[in-house]
Amino acid sequence: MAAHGVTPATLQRPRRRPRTFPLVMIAPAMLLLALFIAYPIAESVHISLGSWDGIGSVAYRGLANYRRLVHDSLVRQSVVTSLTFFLGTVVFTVAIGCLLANAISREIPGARIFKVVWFLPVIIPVSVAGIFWSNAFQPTTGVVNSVLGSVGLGDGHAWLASSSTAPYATIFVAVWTQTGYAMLILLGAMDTIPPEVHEAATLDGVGAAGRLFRITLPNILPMLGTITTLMSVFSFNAFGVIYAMTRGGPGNSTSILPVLVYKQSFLDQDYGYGSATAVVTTLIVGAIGILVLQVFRQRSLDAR
Amino acid sequence: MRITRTPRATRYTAVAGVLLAAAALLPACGTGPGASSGDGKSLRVQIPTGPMASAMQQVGKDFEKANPGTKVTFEGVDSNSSRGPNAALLSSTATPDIGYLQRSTGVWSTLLKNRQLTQIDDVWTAAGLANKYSKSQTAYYTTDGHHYGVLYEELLIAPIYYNKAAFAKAGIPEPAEHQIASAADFEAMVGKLKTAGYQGFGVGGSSPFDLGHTLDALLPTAVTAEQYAAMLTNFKPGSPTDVKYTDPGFVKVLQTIQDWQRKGIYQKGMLGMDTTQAQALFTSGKLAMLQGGNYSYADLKAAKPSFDIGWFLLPSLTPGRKTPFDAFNGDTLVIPAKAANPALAKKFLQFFMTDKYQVSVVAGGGSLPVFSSIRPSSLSNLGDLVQQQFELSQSVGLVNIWDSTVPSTLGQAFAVPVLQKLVAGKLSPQQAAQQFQTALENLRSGKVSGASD
Repeated sequence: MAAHGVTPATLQRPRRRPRTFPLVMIAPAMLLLALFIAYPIAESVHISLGSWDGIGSVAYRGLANYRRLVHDSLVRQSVVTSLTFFLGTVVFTVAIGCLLANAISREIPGARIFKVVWFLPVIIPVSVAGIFWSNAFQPTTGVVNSVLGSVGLGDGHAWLASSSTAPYATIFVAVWTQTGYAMLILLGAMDTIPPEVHEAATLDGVGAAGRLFRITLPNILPMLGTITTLMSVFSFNAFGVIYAMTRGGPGNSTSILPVLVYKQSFLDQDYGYGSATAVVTTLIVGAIGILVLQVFRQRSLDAR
Repeated sequence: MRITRTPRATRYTAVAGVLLAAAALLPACGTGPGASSGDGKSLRVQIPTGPMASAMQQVGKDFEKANPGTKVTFEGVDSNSSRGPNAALLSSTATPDIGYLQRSTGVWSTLLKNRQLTQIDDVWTAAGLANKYSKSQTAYYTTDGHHYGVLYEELLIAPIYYNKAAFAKAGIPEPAEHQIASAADFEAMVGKLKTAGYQGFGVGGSSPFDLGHTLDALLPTAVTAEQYAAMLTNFKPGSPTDVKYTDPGFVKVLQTIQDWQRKGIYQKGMLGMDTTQAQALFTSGKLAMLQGGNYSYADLKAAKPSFDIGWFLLPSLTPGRKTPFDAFNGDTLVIPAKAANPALAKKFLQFFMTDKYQVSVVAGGGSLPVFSSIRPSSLSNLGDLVQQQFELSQSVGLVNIWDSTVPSTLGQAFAVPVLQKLVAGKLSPQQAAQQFQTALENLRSGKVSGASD
């Protein structure tokens, strides 16, 4: 070996992998991430540690905004409202989306038309949907009450005027706007299941419900996890629907956290406090998203 | 059953997706000014969207004609933006040369505190504004002896428009001198209207201001003039503390607002209806009365209702007293400190703040001129009902609206959600009053901002 001019040491040295090229390739993406994601987050955290009315420099106040937040009953109420809204929206969106996707996947009569019709609410701007449904829920004149009135259930229900019914009305509209999206994603996942599996199950006498719960759902579990996570994030960020319908009212009964952040920051000009609420909201959303992913990951592993 | 395992990379991507989407909440609190440079010839003027917007186009053309080579463009700002988010634009380098704001909101105090407004004493002098405004208006727009904005219109708050056909059908005579003797009389009127098949008193309960206007209308009738004056100023640190929001007069107002919900005085679903929806219910003929402002009349007429419209003021809560008109003096034009063409902007303000445009643009748009020299009788373009309101305001008195005179952290932005909870029965009048008192004390102590500008 020495005769060839190669020492044992050089033979054992692993070949150096070229490192520069990958770094150059990911640099633009990292730069954009730093500029548009990391910097705004860091800046928001910075603002949350101080007092700022939107202009000039931030006056550092340490954790004062966070201490205030802990004792603020409005924030506590908004957290509860957000969680209620999140649960209602996600459960119904995913469940209905799943049923609709299954119906289309099983090629019910008119499946193609239903696919388009059920997806339509997704492409309607949320502000337009919010204003439409806000009118639809009005007593006497609204479409919802007209329909209820025509079947003898009364047309005078003031859905958005009561703090006990307004949250459900907003959940309904959020579900209406998001279900088509969930349906389309889940339909894509269902279409990857080989038809032979369903055919074999049918021959074995498994009914439609059995096929849904024992074949379809287990096969799309990873996608179900993804869509549940996305819907969780969407529902926590559903500022547009809420603001267009109720502006967080009556009182603060539909004031989910992003609505509260808007009021604190832009109406009260208290950006420090608004940022502190936004940071906490982000942590809650992040925690819920990761929790949902973990739950579905565990289910996927269990189902193997 | 074998399930395809989720690839690790997909999981990481999903987690990253969650975090990125969650993080999208955060940057909403940031601002990003652009860049602009002045050429001394082009002028960007921000104006509120509404009836006056089209009339302002003519002012722009007149200004261009009087100043050859200049070009004026108008940019609209909606009511919601002007109450808060507009501050970011007006303090950035992308600001229009002339900005619109409401003097009572935090936008004014924030810009002023951070030296983002150009001092325009020279405009005031050249246009003779100190002599044309009332003393209280001049005082309101003077900070440390200087001026930073011009008030260009006055609004009359909370006249109640009514459907004359509905009143006739219910056998209710038209209110004499636009006054109702007592709350009991008002409630009896609503009872008759409901019997005749109409809904009663329309308020845009979900809007960010309308329920506050009900409080504004009733408050000066429930407390003494001295107490009312104190309530307009006692948020300032060091001012007397003897008038409290837990005092009987203020509680009586809250009690009345709550009682009217319990007695079915408001329209059905009031808390879920904004001003536009309440207005539509009124013009459709289903609602007999609507709380509005002088600014509402143009919209009501434009809807071409099938009935004639009258108006009156809400009843006094103190027997024997007449209800005064509430005035909102806050619609303001300013020159931001970072305006590209401040000299041209000053020239425009001076050009605009004249009797000519007070009549043709301000009155023409359904608002009230702010120059005390302009008499209501000289106006032919206000609209019949607004002209009446203007004239009555001269005789029954004019008080500054409470919820837009005190800082928004006690006034409108704070008050409306509290009133909504009160009407919804979630708060008793005493509990709501205590919340107002606490907000006042927080302002005075500096715990929340807005007590000084």
